[in-house]
Amino acid sequence: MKTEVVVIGGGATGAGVFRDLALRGLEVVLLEKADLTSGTSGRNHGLLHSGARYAVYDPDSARECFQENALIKKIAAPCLEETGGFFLSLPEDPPEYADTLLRACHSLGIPAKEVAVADVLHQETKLSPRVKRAIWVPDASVDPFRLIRANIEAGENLGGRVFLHRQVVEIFTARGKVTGVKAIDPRTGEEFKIQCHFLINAAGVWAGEIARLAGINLGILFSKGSLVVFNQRLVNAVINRCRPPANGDIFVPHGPTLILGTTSQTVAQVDDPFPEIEEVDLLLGEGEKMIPQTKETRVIRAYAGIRPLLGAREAEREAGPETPNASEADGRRLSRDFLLVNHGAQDQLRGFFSICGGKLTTYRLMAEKTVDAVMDEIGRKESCRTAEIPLPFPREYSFHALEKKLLKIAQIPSANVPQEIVCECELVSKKEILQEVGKLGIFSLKELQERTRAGMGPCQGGFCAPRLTALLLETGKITAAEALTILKNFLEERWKGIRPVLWGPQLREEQLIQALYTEFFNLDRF
Amino acid sequence: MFYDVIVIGAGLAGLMAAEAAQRHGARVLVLARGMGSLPLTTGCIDALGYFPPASGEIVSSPWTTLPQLIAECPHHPYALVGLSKIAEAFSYFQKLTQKIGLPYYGSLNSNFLLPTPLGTFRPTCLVPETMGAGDLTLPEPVLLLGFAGLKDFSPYLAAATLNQLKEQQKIAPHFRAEIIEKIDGGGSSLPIAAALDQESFRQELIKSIRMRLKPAERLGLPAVLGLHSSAEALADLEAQLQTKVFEIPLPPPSIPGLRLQNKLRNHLQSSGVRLLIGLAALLPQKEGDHLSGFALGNSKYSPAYTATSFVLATGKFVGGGLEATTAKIEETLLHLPLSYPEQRKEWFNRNLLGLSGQPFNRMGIAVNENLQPVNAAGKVIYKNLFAAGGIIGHSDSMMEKSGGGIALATGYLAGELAAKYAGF
Amino acid sequence: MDKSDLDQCIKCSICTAFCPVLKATGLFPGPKLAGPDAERFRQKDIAALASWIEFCDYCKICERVCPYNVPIPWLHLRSRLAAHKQKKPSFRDWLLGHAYYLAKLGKWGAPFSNWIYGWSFWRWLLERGLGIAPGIKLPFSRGQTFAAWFKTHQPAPGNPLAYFYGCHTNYVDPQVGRDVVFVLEKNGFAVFLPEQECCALPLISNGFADLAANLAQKNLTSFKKVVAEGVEIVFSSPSCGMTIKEEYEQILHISGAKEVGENFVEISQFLWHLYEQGKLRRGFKEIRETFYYHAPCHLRALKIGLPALDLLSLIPGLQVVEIPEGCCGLAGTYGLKKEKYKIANEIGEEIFRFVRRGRPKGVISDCEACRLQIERHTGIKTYHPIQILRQAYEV
Repeated sequence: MKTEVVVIGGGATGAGVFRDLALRGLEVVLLEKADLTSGTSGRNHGLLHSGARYAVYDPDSARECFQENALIKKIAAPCLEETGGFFLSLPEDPPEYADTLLRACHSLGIPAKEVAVADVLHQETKLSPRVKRAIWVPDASVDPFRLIRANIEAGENLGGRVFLHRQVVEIFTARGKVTGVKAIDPRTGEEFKIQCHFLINAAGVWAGEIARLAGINLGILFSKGSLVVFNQRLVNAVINRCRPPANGDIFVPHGPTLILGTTSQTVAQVDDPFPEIEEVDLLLGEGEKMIPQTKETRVIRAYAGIRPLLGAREAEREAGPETPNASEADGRRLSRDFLLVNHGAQDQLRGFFSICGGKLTTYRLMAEKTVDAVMDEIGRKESCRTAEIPLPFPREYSFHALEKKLLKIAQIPSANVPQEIVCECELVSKKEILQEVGKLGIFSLKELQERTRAGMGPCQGGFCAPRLTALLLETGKITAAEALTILKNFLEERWKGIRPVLWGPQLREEQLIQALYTEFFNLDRF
Repeated sequence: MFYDVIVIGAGLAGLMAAEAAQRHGARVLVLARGMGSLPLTTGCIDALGYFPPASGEIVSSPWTTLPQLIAECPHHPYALVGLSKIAEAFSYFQKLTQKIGLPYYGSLNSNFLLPTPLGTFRPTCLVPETMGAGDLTLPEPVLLLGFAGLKDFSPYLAAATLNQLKEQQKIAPHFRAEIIEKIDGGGSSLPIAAALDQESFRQELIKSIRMRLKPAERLGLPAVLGLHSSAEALADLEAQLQTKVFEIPLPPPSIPGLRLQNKLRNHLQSSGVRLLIGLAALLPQKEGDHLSGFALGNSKYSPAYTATSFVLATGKFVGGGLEATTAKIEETLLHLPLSYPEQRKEWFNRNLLGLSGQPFNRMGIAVNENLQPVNAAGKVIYKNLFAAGGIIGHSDSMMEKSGGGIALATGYLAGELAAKYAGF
Repeated sequence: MDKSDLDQCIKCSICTAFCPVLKATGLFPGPKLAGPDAERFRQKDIAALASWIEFCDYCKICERVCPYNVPIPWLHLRSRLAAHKQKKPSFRDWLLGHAYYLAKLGKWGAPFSNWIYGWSFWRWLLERGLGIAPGIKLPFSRGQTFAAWFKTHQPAPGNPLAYFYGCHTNYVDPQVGRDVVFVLEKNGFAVFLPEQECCALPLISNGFADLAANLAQKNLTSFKKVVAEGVEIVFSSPSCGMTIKEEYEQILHISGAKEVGENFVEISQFLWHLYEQGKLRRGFKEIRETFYYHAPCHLRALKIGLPALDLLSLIPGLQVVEIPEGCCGLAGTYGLKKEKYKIANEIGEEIFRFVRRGRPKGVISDCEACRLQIERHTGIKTYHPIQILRQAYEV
């Protein structure tokens, strides 16, 4: 196979670059070693930062976030919810931090404003009455799974091609220039070779591994962050702790759920992170200070993601004023800014670029800068239009219109009415599933889950997974030979996130689900 | 109000205990928080499917394997009940269900191999007559018929998986799959099952089926063969279609589980047992090492029910017999002593469906050979209290596939012992 | 925070298996979907509505069969009431919700209520236009109300005891009230009627939360006075009792309701408690008959056991057969509505069939709606348990 550009990585950065390249008229192929969003992009907080959180210690990052926040709201409205956000000071927080935050925001043009605590408590009745000060910011909640897939679809609509389960294992070069890559399907070992002129390394936490294939050391540090998902939304705005960044600072309402995060711990292992029980308990302890009811609210899941941080290169940068809340080792205070490396200039390997670090909120900007660099190299002038053209979403799709889902619970359907509800926890209809089944890469129930939210509710797929498996089989997407394996893989994957939150109603749920699979299905013996 | 025996819990264990006590003449009251967990079961009685619990081989005869279990696991509920009592309980259950119009096939001598909606198979011991013809050791090919809109049953998935098993020579028959589009059954199995109670609806369905059935084919349906009149529905279909018909239990709400519960409840009620369900609060009243009764609330008017003896059949976590916080696990009604790993990370295993099961499924109270709850030193806590079913620890019924059998056997014995204690 | 809320739902679907409305119609998606499933999507806007929400008949069977008693009906009732604050209920619902309340407005109110339920021409018009079900006979008594009778009644000496009689007893079936007074006086109580309004359940179920709260506040103020004197209040209508003891606090958010509610006792429960203390006047005459007993949904929802059954067992010779658990379908004003009439009848059919088969001397039930519905569909006479007790005292 031949193409102009190969992009490595099916996360936010890779998808953004893919779309931008396609929009600027380049032939592009994206290679992803597993499934889309299987890295950090599928394990984050779902927060579209206003930038306020970084205003004090990372002003460049904050400015970028704020600008991108506005742009993403324009192009991706259906997959986000303009919740707004608050920074809340509790009595134990440094009282002057609120003023520091306000000043920093204003100097960056971020429209943070102080609001009366009484008003906030009236609007958000579940907040702690101990709140002392409140600052409003334009935070928003976003569904990263849909956002990234929309970028992929946009690129595909323009002729870009995406291949999943292609892990790049070799980079070919000739006379100091990239000429192509070899990838293998990790499931089968089958090999694929692609010739290209440009290679973009957007492999997230694995960017270092990719760079090493070309003998280059990127020096990326890994910081694991854990999050917990509550069964109920409880609040309708993003709730931030108004103090120097620490653990358990942020609640993000995410569809019908509420996500509390994060922790920060330097790690060496990047594959398949999961939260420890201690991290879960720590988060809950912090969170209940801002929203007391979370102490008794059911937690349905915990998960962890790895932040790729540019540690080595940040040694020269200013880290900001020292405060007792952060430690050098926790990686929270290292820059969240991103880094674009043109290896032609840096490492004498032309045509190879690495784009690392950053966060979900600035993915589009990272992509723009990357593609700008590629266009420079080609010597063509094409302006970036990713901020102007809206991303494609199905007409009825809306991440924020929760009440619309209630309309789906209509009459018990008669024969073959596709409005039948398959996932009852998240109110996902058969029609929606069938719509997505036609699209890319439906080899796993996880892909269906990320596209439709099926399996993300309180029963965590326990009841709907067999229905989804049946639908995949009946539409010919999977074979009978793989059906049970696919089902089991999904259940085990869900289980990883449920394990650390096994108490109260979630433990009862899991016992019921276990009974279902062991008594009704005997699936443990197949 | 005074009773001889009060049973707490309306699942299989509780209802069997109530029956075992009332048949000896005791005046029985059943108190329950909800409607009992029978609608969450297949409706079959699993005696012993696998032993040891992680074994890959199905037990072909529970009767032959039980002595080994009893010898190796002296704290297992089956060991406490004892082989002859287990046999007595099973035999009683079959006579009872026959009498109340819901006959069960099978015996402890062998296990059935029945198909599941996923196309796997499961071992089970006593099966309702509506499922017997699904025996996977019989060679007759099967037509699996689903209903459009019945989302928990895909005959295509079931047939595809089962045919793979046939190719591996693990089962005898071949499977074909079809879906009936025309019949407006609705989205869940409840409306279809209720419709099949009606003879007119059955006629319509039979017409639809007849044209699809091939000669010598058995008919497999999802478990919708009537909510109240399953015997009539089965007989009707078999007579008119001239072939064997069987049903496959679907995930909850399970129709066969509901049938068993309804019939048992009605039988108990017409035998004079009072059943009070939906009670959110049950406050125990004790006198030293004796339980005296339960009140339904704190106020002076809250009804209090007293009895001579009691059976605790509250189940594990799903039933509400056990409750876990982030750091502790408790027996909810009487705060009986429990032993469990202190660290929450030891309450579960790495894999959901691994053969080592889950520690939380093995949790429960300890009882002696008279099914009386005991503390760590083996001392009986309440002299007039007996326990039955899932609340008892020391077994992994999910890995062994023995939940129904344990509930049945311990319920039967506990009810008998409670009645005896009360002088019956 | 109320521990039993939507978090406790583990999707076991037992509620769905026992919902009588689901069995009767496809228009209601079942308690699990309507309650805890939908509730997660109502957190952003509690007034988010959908058409199916109106079909719940509020029998509360779902929460009783639930292993964790998730209060499913409250979850969607709160949403309905919030929605009706924005979108007013229909005129039909206004009439049905206010019928009892209007009857209170003296001379011109009662005829107005009779209009709604009795007068043929208006009935015909109302049925067509307003969707009230045809053929329902709900005669308001053209005679004295219970309250008016009580004013002329010679008070007996004894321990003071308050009686909440409820609208049905007052306007439709005052005999029940008279029997309650008789039985209580026989047992040495000086019955008096505290100031009281309609319990407001018809207003709540038809979407009039503000007016309901108004009436509730009035009721509680009056009851607090009674309770402060150390006097208890008995009620003979389970739906009224349930509303005052639970809905006032949980749905109308009136604080202090629960404490007052603790002194609010169902009549059979009250008398049984007397019996357990050895203070119930016995000397019942023999009644050699077989009656059936239907426990009303709202009585079961009170979680006080079945005190009427216990009480009736004291009457020598009396055989009382408990009708298998179920909902009769009328559910207050639910079954009066055209679009729900058939559903209501379908729901109660099993009970009607059981009664028709057995042809007992009578059917006993604590709830007036159940009595109306069962009598209408079986032709068998119905009684409040207290009425049998009175017979046994007097016969």
